[in-house]
Amino acid sequence: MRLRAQVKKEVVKVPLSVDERWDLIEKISKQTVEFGARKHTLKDAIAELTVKPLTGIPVAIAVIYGFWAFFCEFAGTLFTDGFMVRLFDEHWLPWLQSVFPGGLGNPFYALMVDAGHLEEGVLVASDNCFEAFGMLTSGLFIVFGVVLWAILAFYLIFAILEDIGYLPRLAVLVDTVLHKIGLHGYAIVPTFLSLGCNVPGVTATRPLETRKQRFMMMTLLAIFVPCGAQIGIMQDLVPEMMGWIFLTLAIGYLGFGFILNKIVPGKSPEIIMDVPPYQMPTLKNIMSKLWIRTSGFLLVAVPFVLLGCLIVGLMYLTGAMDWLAAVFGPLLMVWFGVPSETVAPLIAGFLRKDLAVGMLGGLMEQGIMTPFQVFTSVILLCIYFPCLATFALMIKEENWKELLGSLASLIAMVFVYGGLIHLVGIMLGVA
Amino acid sequence: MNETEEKFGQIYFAVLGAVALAFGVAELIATVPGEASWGIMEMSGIFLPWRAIILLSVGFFYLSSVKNFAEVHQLAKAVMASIMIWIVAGIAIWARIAGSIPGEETWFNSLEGFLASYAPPYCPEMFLLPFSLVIVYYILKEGETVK
Amino acid sequence: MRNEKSKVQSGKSPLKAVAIVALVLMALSTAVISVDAHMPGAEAPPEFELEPIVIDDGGTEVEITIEDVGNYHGQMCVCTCCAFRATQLGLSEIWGAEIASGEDVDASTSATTLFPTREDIRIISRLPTPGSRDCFQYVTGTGPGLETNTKGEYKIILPDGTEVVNMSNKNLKKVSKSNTPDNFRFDVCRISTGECFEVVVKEGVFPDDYFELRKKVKFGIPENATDEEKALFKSEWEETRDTFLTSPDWELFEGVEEPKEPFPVGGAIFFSILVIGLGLLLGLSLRGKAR
Repeated sequence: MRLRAQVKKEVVKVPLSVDERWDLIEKISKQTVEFGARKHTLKDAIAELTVKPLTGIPVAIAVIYGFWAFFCEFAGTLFTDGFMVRLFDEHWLPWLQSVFPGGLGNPFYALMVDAGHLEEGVLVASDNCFEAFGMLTSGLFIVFGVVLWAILAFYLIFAILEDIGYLPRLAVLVDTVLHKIGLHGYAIVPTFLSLGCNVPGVTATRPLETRKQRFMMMTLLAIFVPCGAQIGIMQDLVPEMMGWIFLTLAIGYLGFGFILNKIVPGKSPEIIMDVPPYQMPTLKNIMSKLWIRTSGFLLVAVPFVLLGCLIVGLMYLTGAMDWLAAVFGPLLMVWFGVPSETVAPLIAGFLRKDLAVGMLGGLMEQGIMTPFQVFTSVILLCIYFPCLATFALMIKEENWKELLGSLASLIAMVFVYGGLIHLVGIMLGVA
Repeated sequence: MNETEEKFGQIYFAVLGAVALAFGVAELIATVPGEASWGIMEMSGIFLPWRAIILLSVGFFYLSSVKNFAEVHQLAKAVMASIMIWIVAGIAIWARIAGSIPGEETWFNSLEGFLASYAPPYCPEMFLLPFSLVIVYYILKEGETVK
Repeated sequence: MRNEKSKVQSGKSPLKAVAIVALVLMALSTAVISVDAHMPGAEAPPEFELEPIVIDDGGTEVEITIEDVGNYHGQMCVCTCCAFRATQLGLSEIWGAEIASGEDVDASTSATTLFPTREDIRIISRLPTPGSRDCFQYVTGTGPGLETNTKGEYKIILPDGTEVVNMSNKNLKKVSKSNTPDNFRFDVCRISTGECFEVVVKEGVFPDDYFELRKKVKFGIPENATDEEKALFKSEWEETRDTFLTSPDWELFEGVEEPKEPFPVGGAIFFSILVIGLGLLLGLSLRGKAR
């Protein structure tokens, strides 16, 4: 009774500052919790090892290595390269090319099946689904041939790590680093989630307490964290560059986070996070999580990718794309050092990043870009605008001031970071 | 865990730790030319530097667990080291399984092609895998003690 | 004496001059006509790895690479590449076992050599083209301008049995008008033992319309080729040349078996261990759950 009265008295003084709140918690716990000696079990000892930096960092490296290597082998080697490329390039594409009415040069055929490409002035049919760019060929290939497996692999491992209880420990481990940029260790959860899809990532910023933290987190996610779909396509197209791509993005994430923390007004208070004991995951749980997340992803991805194919196809057919390439080409060439053809993937990137990287693949196959230009374009695609679904969610989650702020920082970021990469390339003699 | 078991564990994991450390150093050296092989052991791949770091840590974990091995915090280090080996070796095995199923020209691999995917050379972590399983005995023992 | 000597000398020099003029003329004619046999504007071949042909030329070990043959002919054309691969196969089929076991290859010579001796090689070709001729002559040492210690034998006998004695470019070009895949057969023989191996190019190595297009493009039979047909022939020609440069013997020639990979014992052992291990793991975890 005495305690309740005291709490009442304290709470009356709302709003409490952070320190006052901690004091209150201590008072309450002192009077209600009995502390006694408890023998540590093996589980407790392991849990301790995974959060201490000296032992926790090597473990984190092993876990992330396992995560990534499983992802590559499952999505890349087994499904995409093993079965899907063959299914789509050797069976589905030739079959559609032979039965679909219209034929090469017909606008409807171009939108649906194969736009073809010019070789020495002659329009020739595509021989792979990255180049064809029809809704039924590239559209379906990107979603079901590449991205679905990447997402499935990602969410499988994510669910396992979540259910074992490793993720909160990773959050504790990176807490110190993330505090330097004004974020809490918990930020690792939305970041990791965003590596699957930015949409649930943005939703997962809700537990962050202040608007400053949420704004920073959403902006960083939208700019620097590529989604699983995009990663899947990048891994398929430029596996040798993945290390550099992630390094560049990580530097951007931390560097830009540091700057944002300095310029955005507001506070970054502590948050309390539950760190559950390690436990064996159950198959039923994993499966239901996998199902909910993957089906949720497909519902967003399929319509947007198909719509993206259609819009890009229409823009090519009407000549709008050539016009945009002519207008923005010089800017792209001079500032970012990428060819004017990159306009098309950048446009497609408004809808879906995976589709956009897939289009870069088509340009690569035609030998239009140097490896460094591919690298720059991939980074530009990551950072320049969130995909439509994420953007829609950001409109919902942020007020208009914050949204404008996000967009402004995004535009500034693209120019500064993109130009910087070009500059580094020039200095290294590769651009 | 009785004294004999503790003594055995100390010697066993000291040796295993030393071997893991040696393999880790070898992998680290192999990152310079990019690949190296020794009999049916091969060190290669783009993740070699990372695997070297992991293996070196495994070695250190095992070695540092030896003193007062029966104590739960010390044992936990050996368990963690074994789990790290399981992750890396498990991925290496998984990579072979994933590569063995689809064929080069056909949908599915031939029997010979399938089995050839499992042929040597193997990475060092795969050689350490069976030896690291000894820790399971100690985990079970520890579980019994708690009960 | 002096007079006599000078006489002899003066008697020799016109002969020498005639020989030189004849050689120059021959070389020129070869150059002019062989240009005809070549493919103008053909793309460079892809990267390939071909072992050289190694033979014993009177005690000297001679390495003949495809580049040597190409330089001698003027271009690595379809026929030189095909002839080179055929010679390689034929020699290895007849001498191969002995080369491998390191036995004295040629009992007739005292030299302890491990390679076929040039003078023991006989090649009978059904193919009347300058490219294949230059290759076979280079190997047997029977061509013009070649300085070899010994010489083997080389003949062209058409599929109908007639021997082509006049091996000038002009004549070969004339005879080769009606070439078909049937011309791509070569007997590689060992004179000392009489052993022969017939190298036959597999069906499908040449595209179906290759010889028809060749007739049109090179000889205007039955009519001159259109630009499209010329372009198509050029690409088929390049493709066939690349096939001869890069494909394994069993894909190119009849009677060569595809080498079988040895049964992957190591893989089978590992896979068995893996299955047993996974089985044990599953069993243990199920038992743990049942408890």
